[in-house]
Amino acid sequence: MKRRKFLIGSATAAISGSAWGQRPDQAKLDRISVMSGGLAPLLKGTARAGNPKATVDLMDLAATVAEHYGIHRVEFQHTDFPSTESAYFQEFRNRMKTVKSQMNQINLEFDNLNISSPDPVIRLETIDLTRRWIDYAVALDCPRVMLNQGDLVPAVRQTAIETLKTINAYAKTKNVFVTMENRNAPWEVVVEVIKASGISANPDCGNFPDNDSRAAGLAVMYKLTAGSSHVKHIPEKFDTAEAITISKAAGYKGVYSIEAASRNSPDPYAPVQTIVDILLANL
Amino acid sequence: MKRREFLIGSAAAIASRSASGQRPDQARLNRIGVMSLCFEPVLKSAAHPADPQRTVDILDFADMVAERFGIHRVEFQQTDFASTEPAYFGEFRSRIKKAKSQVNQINLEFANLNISAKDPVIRLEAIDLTKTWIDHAVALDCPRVMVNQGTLAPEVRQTAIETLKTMNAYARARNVFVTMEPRWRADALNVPWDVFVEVVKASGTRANPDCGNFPDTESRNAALPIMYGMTAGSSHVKNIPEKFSTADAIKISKEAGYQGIYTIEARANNGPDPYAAVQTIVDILLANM
Repeated sequence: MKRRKFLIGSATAAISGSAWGQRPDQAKLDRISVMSGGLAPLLKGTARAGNPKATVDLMDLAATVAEHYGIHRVEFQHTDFPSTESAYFQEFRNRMKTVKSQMNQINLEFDNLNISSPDPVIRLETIDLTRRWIDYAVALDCPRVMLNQGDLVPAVRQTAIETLKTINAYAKTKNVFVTMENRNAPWEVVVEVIKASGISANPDCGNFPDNDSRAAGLAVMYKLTAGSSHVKHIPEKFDTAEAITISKAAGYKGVYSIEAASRNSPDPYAPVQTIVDILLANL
Repeated sequence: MKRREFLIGSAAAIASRSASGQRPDQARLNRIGVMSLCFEPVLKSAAHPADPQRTVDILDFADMVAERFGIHRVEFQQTDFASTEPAYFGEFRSRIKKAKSQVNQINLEFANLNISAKDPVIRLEAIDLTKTWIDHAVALDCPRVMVNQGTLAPEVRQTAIETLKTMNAYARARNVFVTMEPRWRADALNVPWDVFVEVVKASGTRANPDCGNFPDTESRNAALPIMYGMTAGSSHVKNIPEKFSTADAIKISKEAGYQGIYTIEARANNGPDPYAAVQTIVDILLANM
C-alpha cells in the first residue's frame, strides 16, 4: 500500500482501558478503525431527531472514537454526509486533523446504480457518481472507496469488470484505492472480478455462508487488500478470533475496521468495544 | 444571455429547401435547434445493435442535422452519450466543430434522482450527478443543462428549491445555465405552471418553455408569455395540431420579446419518418418566426 500517506501512529489520545483494565497497545490500536454504522445511535440526524442518545455530530465522530477507544481511524458511508460542498469537506477534514485521525474508507451505496446494471446508461451514471466520490475522498484525505458491486451474475460480469476498470483507472490517477467486499455473489466470483479489474479486496469475515468458505475465502482475499478489511462479531455464526488468525497467516499487515451492530444495545459504545477487545487480544 | 459565446452564425451549410421551395433564411435557421430525441428510431443503439433502421451514430448527429436541415444547433439527452471519458468528449466536440455546430443543451433524466426526492441522500446524489454533467457540458462547449424537477409536491418544494440553488451556484461558476421545462402528462400528477414558475424564480434557474406541455390553451396562453421572459435563450417547440397551434405559440414568444432558440422536439405523434416530422416543424418555425 503506497498510494496515500497516513497521519496517525504518534497519536496520544486519552483512551478508555480495555476490558481487562490494561492500557491498550497503541500500535495495535493504530491498526483498528471504527465504522460509523457501529455508533449510529449516537449520531445526530433527521432520522434520529429527538433521540436523547443522538448527541454526536458526524463531524465529531472521529473525536468521539479517539476519546472513547483511543482509535484514530474512522470509516464512513457516503450516505452519512449531509453535504458534498467543498466548504463542508474542508471543515470535516480540519476536525479529523484536530484529533489526529484518518478517514479509513468511504463506502458507496448507490442502490440500483452499480456496476452490475444491465443498462449502459446506469453503468455510466455509476462511473460518474463514483468518480465524484473519489474526488471527495481526496478532499477528505481518504485512501479508499468501497463500492457495492451488485449481483455480478454471469450475464453482466464482463461489463461489470469493464466498468470497474474505468472507475479504477480514474482512482489510480488520484491515489485512491477502489475496493469491494465479499457479498451478493460467491467469494470466488468476487475474487475473479477483483483480479480482472485490478482493484483491491476488502475482506469481511462476517459475509460468508459457512466456515469452510470463510476459511478459504479469507485466506485468498487478505492477500488482495488495499490495507483494510471489515471485522464483525457474530459468535453464533463464526469465531472472530479465528478469522483474525487467518488474516495473520496470510501475512496481512493492514487495518481491521470494526463493523458492529449497535442499534439494540443499551450502551451504544459496547458493541464496538467488544470487537476492539477481541482485536487487541488476537492481533 | 451572456454566459457562453456561440460559434455559429456564419455557417454556410447546404440546407434542404423549405416546403415553399425557397432557400431558407440562414439567420432564422440559426435560431433553430433539433433534439436528438426526434431521431431516436434511427440512432444507433447498443440496446438494438441489429436494427437496420438505426443508421445514425450520435457522433454524426450534428453533421446529419446540418446537412439535411441547414441547422447548426443540436440538443442531446444525457442518455445519448456512450461514454463520459475525456477522449470521447474530445472526439464529440471535434465532430460538432467540424459541422460548425453547437450543443444547445443537455437534458438530464436521472429517474428517481431528482430535486423533489424526499430522501436527502438522493437529493445529494442528484446534486452530484448534475454537477458532473455541468462539467461535461463545459467539456462539450454546451451552455445549458436542463434538469427534470420531479413532482415539486408542496411537502418537498422548499428542499427542491434549496437543491436547485446548490446546483445553480455550481453551474454559474462554470458559465452554464440550469433550466427546467413545464411538464404535463394526461396520466400524471402535474405541477401547475404557476408553481413551476415560482420554483424557477426562487431558485434563480431559468425556464425552458415547451409549448406542448400544457393541459389546455388557456394555461398555455397564460404561461408562455411569463416563461418566455425567464429563459436562458432556449425553448422547446412541439407540433400537436389536434391540441394547439404551434404558430400561435411562436407568436406568443415573439410578443414576449423572445430572441432565443426554438429547439424542435418531434415525437412519434408527428409520424413514422423523423426527417419529415422535423422538417414540418422547421417549416412552421421559418414561416412564423
